[in-house]
Amino acid sequence: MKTFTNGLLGLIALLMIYQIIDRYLEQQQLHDVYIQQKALSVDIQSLIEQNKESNAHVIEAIQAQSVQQQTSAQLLRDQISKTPATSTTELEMLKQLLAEKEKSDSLNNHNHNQSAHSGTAPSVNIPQTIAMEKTSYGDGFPVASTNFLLPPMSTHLNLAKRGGVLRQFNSTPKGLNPITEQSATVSDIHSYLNDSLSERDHEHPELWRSQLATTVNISEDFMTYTFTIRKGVYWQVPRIAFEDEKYAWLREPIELTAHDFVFFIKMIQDPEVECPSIKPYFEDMERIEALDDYTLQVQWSKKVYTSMSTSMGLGPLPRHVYTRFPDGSLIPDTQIGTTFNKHWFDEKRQAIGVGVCRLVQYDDDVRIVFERHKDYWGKGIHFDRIEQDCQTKDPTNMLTQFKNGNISLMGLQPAQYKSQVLDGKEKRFALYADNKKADLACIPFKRLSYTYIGWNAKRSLFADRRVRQAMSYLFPRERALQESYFGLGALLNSNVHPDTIYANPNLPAYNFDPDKAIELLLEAGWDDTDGDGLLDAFVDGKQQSFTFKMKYYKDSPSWTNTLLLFEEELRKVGIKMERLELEWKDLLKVYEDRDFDAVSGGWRMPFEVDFEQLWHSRFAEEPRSSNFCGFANSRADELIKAMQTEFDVQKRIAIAHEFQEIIHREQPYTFFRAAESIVTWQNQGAGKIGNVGEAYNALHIHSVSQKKTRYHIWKE
Amino acid sequence: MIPTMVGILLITFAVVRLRAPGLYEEMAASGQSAGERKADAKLANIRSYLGRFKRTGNDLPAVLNTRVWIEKDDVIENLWMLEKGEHATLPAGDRGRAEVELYLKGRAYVIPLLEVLEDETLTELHAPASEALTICAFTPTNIEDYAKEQERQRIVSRNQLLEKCAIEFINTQEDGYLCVDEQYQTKRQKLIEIIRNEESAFSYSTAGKIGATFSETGFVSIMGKLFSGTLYSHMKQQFVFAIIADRWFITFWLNIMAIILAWGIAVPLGIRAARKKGSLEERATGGALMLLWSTPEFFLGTILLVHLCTDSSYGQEIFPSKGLTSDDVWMSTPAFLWDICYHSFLPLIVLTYNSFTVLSRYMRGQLLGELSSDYVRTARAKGASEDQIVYGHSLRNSMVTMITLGSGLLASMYGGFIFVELIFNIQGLGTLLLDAALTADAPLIMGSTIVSVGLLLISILVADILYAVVDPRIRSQYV
Repeated sequence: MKTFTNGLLGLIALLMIYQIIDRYLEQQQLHDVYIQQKALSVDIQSLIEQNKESNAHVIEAIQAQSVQQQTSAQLLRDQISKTPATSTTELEMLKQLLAEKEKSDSLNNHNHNQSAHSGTAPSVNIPQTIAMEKTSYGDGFPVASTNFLLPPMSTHLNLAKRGGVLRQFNSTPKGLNPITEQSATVSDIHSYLNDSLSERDHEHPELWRSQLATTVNISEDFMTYTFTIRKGVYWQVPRIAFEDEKYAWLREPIELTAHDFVFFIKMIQDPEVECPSIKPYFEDMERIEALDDYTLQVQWSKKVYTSMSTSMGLGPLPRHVYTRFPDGSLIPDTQIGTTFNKHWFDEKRQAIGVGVCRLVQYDDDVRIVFERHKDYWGKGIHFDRIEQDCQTKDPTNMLTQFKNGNISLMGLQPAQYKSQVLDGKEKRFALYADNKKADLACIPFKRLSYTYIGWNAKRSLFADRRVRQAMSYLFPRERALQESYFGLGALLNSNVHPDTIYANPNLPAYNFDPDKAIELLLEAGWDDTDGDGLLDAFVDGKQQSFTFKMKYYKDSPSWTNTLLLFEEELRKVGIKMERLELEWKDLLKVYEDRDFDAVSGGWRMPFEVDFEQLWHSRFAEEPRSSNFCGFANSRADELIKAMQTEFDVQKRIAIAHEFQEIIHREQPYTFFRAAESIVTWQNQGAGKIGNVGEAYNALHIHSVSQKKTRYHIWKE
Repeated sequence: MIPTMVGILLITFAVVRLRAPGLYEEMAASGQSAGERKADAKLANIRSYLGRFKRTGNDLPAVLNTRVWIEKDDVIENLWMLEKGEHATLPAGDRGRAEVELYLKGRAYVIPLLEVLEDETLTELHAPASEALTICAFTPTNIEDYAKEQERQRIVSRNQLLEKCAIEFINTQEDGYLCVDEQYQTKRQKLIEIIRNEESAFSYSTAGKIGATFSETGFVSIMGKLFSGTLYSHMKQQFVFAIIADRWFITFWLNIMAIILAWGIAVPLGIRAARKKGSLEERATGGALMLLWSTPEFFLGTILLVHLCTDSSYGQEIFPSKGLTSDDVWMSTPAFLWDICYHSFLPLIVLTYNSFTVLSRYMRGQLLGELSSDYVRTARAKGASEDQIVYGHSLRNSMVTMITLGSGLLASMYGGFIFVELIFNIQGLGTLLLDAALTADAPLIMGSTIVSVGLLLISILVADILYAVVDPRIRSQYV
């Protein structure tokens, strides 16, 4: 017994000693990290200063936009030094000239490179420089041959209220490469780090705003896009450049050019680069070319409306990093594609861009930290720092972290919304609409996606339009929305989200109406002739009663509840519905093989509607197609084709309205609900992040541009 | 120990294998989250998925590779089966899947496909055979190849060359396979030439076939990687054992502490229960312990989290809800140790409360048995005090059983620490394992299971050694 106790005590002592040593070493390491962190705060301007003597060419690159003035100023300076001391008046005159010249130079530089020259207090200088932009901007509506871009987003940020930390949840992505990793997490990270040529206006997503492109010129045939790239935008310096002397070559400031955009496309189109999910979007891009450092031209092989948003949304890729080996030497052209898949820069968990934030910390499964990018070309972001927690995965603990104030902003699950907010389990929660001073405010926001029940038109049961219409009348959608989704969502009448400009507001709703349904079913030949309580009709050469199988996604309690309600209503009129829950994997197979009578589903929509994939008749027979209900209508086909090549917004709206009328009449789906989610934030107290409510109350926010949340949250 | 390990390896492999998505599923599911699909998703080419998929080893058959026995005639039949025209036997939905399956057959199908391509009488099948051939002969670049630049370049350029030799064709309902390639003959000759040059890499002798039946399998491939330490997680983009090395200590520390705590509390409880047998106190503690025992860990954990760790309108945060240490890194060592104890208090309780009951009940039973034995009666008759009897004589004899239980304790905690780490937000092996399971990251599941089971087996070994410490009879056999 004594030996045992001694052994036990010894083990504890060993563990303690290990902890102490480990702790000591950790302190040392932390100190090193601290030093590196400090080094990181060096901005590009001071780097330029450092490199001035050794790298004359760098200065040239930075001031390339004002070469002429620069040279003449230089000449003046030379002349001053050469002027004999005796001729004072001449000297005075020259000095005055030089002063004027330098003043205009610095103003010019401001124009192009707003923050690089604004030193430590960029917030004061930026508004003036934006006002001084010489580019003439348009009204944002895409038209050919003129620069239609709106000026960059500048009204959103209240400079006096800048500061603070935004704490969110995120999950660790597989990697950080923006091309080979195509998860939502990676694109979320890169939307902080990088900008695109232009972006959709946050209030009116159909309008375009300038970002990295100052002008755009679309050819008359809408196939060639020419962009002018903003001058004086510099790539961020990755943190590894300061952490390891080996990567010191990365400290050199590099300007963004049109070649960085060309490189982005070159990598996507490279057959060796593994990015299967985005490759198809660029297949019709015939040519992309940098006409000079600041002019980018994109040529498409077809006139298609969606190619416009693809072109306008192109982002740059740091060519100076991805074309080099770790020692800074160039990778041969033939090897770039293969090296790109597992590039050392991604292996080191680095990522850079030209955007509002810079990545300063990245710990797998622990946290990701961004800092405001000091040398950002525009007004930038409200917060000094964004910290993302990647380690919390349990929903209960997530809520705990939020309530404890460790998280500033998070989404609530429907069940949490019900118990915490609606049932009043936590008194500090309140809907922002009810109480603007609540501790923890929540607001519902709409997403561009919808759910539906699809009817298989290839099966005789649902081949008749009247039967499908009757099913829509029998679906208790108002009740289901209230009872299963706690009122979160908007009822939908067609395949377009009711809040977008393309939605047809004149469509009558298929609200719950059993009488109308019975009438339609009678018309279609369904009646209870044998008195067994079920409707029957003469179908496929024999008398059949109305029973069908409904397949749906298993892990959604809301769907189960909704379908239970539906089942009950159907039973009342004599229709038997059998519910079959399926795993997502199996449900995908059901869609592909069209092996269903009725099936539940959801579509996540892009902002630009292209109806072809879902509704064109040429896909109605094809296996694996998205038109799995077998919808076919010749007029709809014409409208789809017309819509694809129509660039005039008013005409597009007219086409979309007519198309929705057809869909509404045919009812291939019973359209149910446009999705809505709940976001909650720290509205009061120490960790409050400001006025999220105003930022979140329109549809486009989350789906069109998540950036809006970042820009629009301001402190009160 | 070894059979246990092998058994666990087999079970894990089977589960992982069943859970793994096929290439076809991966292609179909790209760009989709559960319950919702992307309306503008576009279909991609199989070739762009191939490298990634082949690196997982899931293209190989699980335990027996019967592909090596395939002959030319089987391949011909297989190719006709995929036709849409008169030979069509498959329903439309299954054809895509069957096609992908054929393309994944790999090395073993290369020579039979080549024979089809060379056969002048089978002109109709040349184009589909060339397509299948170029994909089957595709070599993925592996992690190891990234270290050897030249080798990788060679593989990549060969793959590209193969792709260019695929003869274009269409598959129609009216006419079946139709070749639409103008360079049909040149491509065919070139392809035959390339593959004939590499023939030795694709052909098998009879002995080779028998060997390959057992060796060219998913099981052998993953075990080879496991034991050579080169298991690579494509999800985390890191070697599996490097990920585990970052985390194992947290779980290990937590479990060692939990065992010490469980013993430290349960043994005295058991002794007290045995000495106070039949009293109200004994019955009360016994009942309370039984109640605890029947409470699931995830339930109690969540209750504690919500009521003790959460700032709410009805209570304050008493214990931390996140991790094993504070974020503040500039603490003195005593403060740090206190910080660890403070953070691990609730997780340790949840890990151990279950074992209090079992351990103390066994302790009580054992001690009661010992106390009624003859040598205790002798000691009592000699006038030894009750404490001397319990602690000096009986306890040591009861310990043998307790140690056996102790090693089983770790096994029961194995299930518990996954919940505890998830609920209290601790980045140990448990959360890693859970993450790996949810993302179907097969190499990581294998790796972390092996390490956890390894830790378990080592603790059993320690228990065996402890037998010798407490029991002189066992010690005398070996020392």
